[in-house]
Amino acid sequence: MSSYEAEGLRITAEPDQNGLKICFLGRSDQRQPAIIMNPWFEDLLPMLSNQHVHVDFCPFEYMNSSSFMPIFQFLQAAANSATDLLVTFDNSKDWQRLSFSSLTALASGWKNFTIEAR
Amino acid sequence: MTGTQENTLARRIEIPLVWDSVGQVRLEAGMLFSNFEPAVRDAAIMVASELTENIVKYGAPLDGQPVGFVSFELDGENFTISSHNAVAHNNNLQAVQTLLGQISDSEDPRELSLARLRQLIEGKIEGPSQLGLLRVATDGGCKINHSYSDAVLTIVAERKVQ
Repeated sequence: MSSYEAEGLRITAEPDQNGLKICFLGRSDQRQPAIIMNPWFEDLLPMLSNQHVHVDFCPFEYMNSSSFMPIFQFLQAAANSATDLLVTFDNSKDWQRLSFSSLTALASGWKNFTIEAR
Repeated sequence: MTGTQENTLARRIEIPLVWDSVGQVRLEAGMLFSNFEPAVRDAAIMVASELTENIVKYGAPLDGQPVGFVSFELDGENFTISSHNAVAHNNNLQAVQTLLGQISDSEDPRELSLARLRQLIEGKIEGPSQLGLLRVATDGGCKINHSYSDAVLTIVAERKVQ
């Protein structure tokens, strides 16, 4: 299992029954979240090649608007690298429903990409 | 709104121009709106947080003090969260005024936000993402007004609480 943690944000990556599951936990509310996350994503991306990947945001507590781009860019790169990419979010959390509706629209043309509300 | 809490409030918080202020404002907003439905409380926290981030990122000392301000008002039907700060650079002021004008003129701020996201992900924009104010208007469900007077930028975000 890989785990990355800094300033209240934690990202884990571990095998599951279908392939690889990546979980976002805690909060992403740093001033420049890309500086923290991008090296983690660069580390993670090679692991996604030819894998069924599930990125789970359900436990995620909050992200600021500065976090949108590094996370969305990672998901786009992940969709290009993985066999397929499933993103899940918690529909009962208002902020997740709203933020990930933007991702749903943004990713409408991405191949190998599915997003589900849970 | 839930329970039998006060349905009016007014609160003004000094914002030192340091990043820790954002977390402090999130806590304050969470307490001020603790008796409201989660959707309203979460929107208030997000709006206060995004406005405070902008104060800290782009603000300048006000009357010689390295601070800005965030105000909360509740009149029973609406909440209003406002930021007040000097602006460090004229180009930042122009950029925010342009964006707020676009939001104000837009029939659907969510389309504006989506267009911005597309440009950002395609690498067509350099500099600040400006997604915070778009998020206040879209996910926050707020009407946004602004003014600039005596070197102070005031941004007012308002939405219904029910």
